[in-house]
Amino acid sequence: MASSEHTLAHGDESSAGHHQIVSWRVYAAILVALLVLTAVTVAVAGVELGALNTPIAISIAVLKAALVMAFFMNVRNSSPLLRIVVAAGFIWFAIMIAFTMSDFISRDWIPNPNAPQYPATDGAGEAIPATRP
Amino acid sequence: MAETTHTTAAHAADDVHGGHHHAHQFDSAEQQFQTAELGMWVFLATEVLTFGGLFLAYIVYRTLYPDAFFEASQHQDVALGAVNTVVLIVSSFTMALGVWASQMGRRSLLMVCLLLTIFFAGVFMVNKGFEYTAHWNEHLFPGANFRFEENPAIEGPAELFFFLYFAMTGLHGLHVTIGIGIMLWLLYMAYRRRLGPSYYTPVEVTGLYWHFVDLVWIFLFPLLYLIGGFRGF
Amino acid sequence: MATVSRPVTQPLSEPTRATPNYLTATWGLKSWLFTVDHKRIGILYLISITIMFMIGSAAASMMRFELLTPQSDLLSPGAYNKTFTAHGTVMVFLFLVPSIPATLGNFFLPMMVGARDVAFPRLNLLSWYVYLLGSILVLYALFSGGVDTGWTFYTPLSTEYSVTRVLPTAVGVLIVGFSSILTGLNFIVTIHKMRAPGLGWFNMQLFLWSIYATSLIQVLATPVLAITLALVAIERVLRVGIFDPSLGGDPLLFQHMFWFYSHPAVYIMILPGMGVISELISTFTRRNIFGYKFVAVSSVAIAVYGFLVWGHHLFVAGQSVYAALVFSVLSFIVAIPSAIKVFNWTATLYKGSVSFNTPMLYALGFIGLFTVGGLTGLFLAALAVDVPLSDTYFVVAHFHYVMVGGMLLAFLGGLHYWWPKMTGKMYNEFLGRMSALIIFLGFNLTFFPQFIAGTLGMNRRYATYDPTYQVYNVLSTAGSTILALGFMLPVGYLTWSMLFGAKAGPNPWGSAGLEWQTQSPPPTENFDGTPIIRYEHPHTYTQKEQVLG
Repeated sequence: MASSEHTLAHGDESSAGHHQIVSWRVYAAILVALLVLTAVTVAVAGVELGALNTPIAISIAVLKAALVMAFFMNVRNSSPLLRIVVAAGFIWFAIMIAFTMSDFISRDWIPNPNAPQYPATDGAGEAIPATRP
Repeated sequence: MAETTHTTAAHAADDVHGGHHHAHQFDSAEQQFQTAELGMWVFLATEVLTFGGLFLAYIVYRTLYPDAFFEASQHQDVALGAVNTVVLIVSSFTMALGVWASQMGRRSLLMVCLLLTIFFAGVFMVNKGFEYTAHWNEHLFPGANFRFEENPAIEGPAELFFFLYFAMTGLHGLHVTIGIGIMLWLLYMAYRRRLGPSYYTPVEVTGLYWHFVDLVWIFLFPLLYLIGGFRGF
Repeated sequence: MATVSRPVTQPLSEPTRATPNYLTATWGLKSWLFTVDHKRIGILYLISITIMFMIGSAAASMMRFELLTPQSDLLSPGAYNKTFTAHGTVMVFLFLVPSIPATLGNFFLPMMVGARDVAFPRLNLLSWYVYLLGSILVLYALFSGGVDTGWTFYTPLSTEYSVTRVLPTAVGVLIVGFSSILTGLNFIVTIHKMRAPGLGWFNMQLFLWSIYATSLIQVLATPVLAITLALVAIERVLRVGIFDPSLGGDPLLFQHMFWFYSHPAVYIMILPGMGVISELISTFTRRNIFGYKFVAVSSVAIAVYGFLVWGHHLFVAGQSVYAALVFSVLSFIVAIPSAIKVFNWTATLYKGSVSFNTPMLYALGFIGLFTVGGLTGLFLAALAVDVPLSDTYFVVAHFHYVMVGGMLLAFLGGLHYWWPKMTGKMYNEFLGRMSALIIFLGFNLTFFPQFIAGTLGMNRRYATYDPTYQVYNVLSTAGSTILALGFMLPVGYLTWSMLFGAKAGPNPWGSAGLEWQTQSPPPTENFDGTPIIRYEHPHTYTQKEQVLG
């Protein structure tokens, strides 16, 4: 059947979404939240938590990013199309990271005599010091 | 079967953007607004991938050289980085407030917000200038003059860290500078009374761009300054 | 829900003597160089990429003449390296990537959605200027000393050891990449926001689906190329070590980043061609494409899925074997959407009312040659088979079958198909068919022997080779001269037709496409008002049209 999605909004289909004016108080609240989270990040970074430091820092950063996107950038009220565009950027970034890291992480799972060694070794198997000649 | 119609509805049903003349390829101001918004978001998606390439390099080398990256990051000025984070977040707020002001037709407030945003962006760049100069003086700028005296054995990976630091913050700083330029142009448009509730598309779209710039820094800060903790200010 | 019959031979807007078309609306160099009309921008691109194609072909000819003999007599090894780099760089970045989207896409996308122009016309013009800037920089580099790294710029040769003009080439290509991004962005937004009333996604013409899929790739992949080449350029200047093993860098990181773009790039190159073929097959068999929805969705599937397979370019580079296994499996699966298209095109031919006009000859040639190219790609996707075939002429033959036998044939087919619409003139049909046949024969003679030579072990990117391969090289060079003749003929008769050709009506092929429902050449605003779409299927022909053609 004929798809009847009208994309020309001759004014009659203006979605309430992006024209809904968000109050400045919302922005102010988000500002406070972001500043608090920044303080938390710095404080936690001063505490020695070993392997947990990085995931915690990244998680807080993700939360701050979500707040900026949802409220400042108004993704919260945006059309599905815009949300897909936002998601696509991050998904593709994730694909690039995941597949590339799958190589680096798994290089020594199955021995590969051709794989480069870290630190770099010369012909005799001696490590080449990582210094500028 | 395709027929044609003369679009008489073109100017008749504009609501929020009522009365504003739109470009010839569009049928309504509303269509023009939605198109601009989508265009900016698609552009921001490309920016995610652009910065993403550098983030990839960072993730790879940090995975390979965790200790070297930790040691190298001790040279970072965490206080200045934190101040810059706060500055950018506040500038994001003033930009959002500016969008609100333009939607409400409050021209003076819009201009104040734009000026504040530009001011904070300038503060950010000045701070970066201090940081870069300090690094340069400590021989930490990648290239022929790079020296990592406290641990020459990891000089290579340390140089990689600082290269990524300068590349990522440099690309980010370029975006900040361009943002300042755009906001100056917006300021001029506001001064000439070309922005208001019936046409605030440039403000909205610049806002999106500026928030993205803030977003990138939100990730750069922990990755470049707070690796695995720091030893105090 | 019935399909409404359409008087395809009558244009929507009757041309009057007073209606100027986009070519005659304004005069003068400034009106062209400062135009924001998507049709004129398409023509500007057409002229530019034709020049680039000639430069790339000249490099190819030099390579083929050198390879007539096993020794490096015509070109020294260093000069040969610079020649194949020039050939690859110009052909991939300056010709193939922009080709169909920037020329035919720019011209016909707005018309096919029923719009007056693209979403951002000035950005469109900027795209062309950015393309010019980047191209000039690349050509400057190639002609002021050349580059010898191959179009793939592998490190550390490109970043450290090569003494050739890597920096301007890398910067030039990165600039051209921005042009690609801007075009893709424009097209995505246009298709989403500027479709005529009644034009839903599933009654869009298939050319639009493929341009949309291409634009998705352009927008998501090209930024990574930009940052990768920027790193190469910075490395040339600063010698930081980002890809240098002695300083802790990893050359494979470059390859991952480079191929993250460059594999999807091959889909940028082929998808628009596939869209053209859909249009041609549909018009010249007088049928809607069999399995329209499958073909439409498979375009997007190829675009998305093509991002998951780039590791097959790193099989012998030292990549983790485990990752290589995963990429190998994924590379097999990516063939499926392409195969779906080929099967659907073939099914469309069955019991269709086929006419063998020039564009159709190109389309049929495409189906055969693309199938060969695609199947040989599967050989290379198999990890164990790829190891001996890597860096041999098998690979060279494979990608030339898909890029020349596929994409270039589609481009020529589209050019001939839409030539009457763009110029308002008809070309000589006999010469058109002759050239198509010459190109088909010349192409196969050029590249089929390369499959054999590659399987027997002949290395690519070498000026010299073992004399046992000479027979294949002689055949290949002979084929390339026939191919060159085949390419030169259209340049001649198409140009001739612009001046002396018979006047074309609005719809010489009797096609059901929306772009044919206006005069030839189109007026600046494309249609008289905004079309309202009422049909179910984009490529629909009545019984009578099917019978009488």
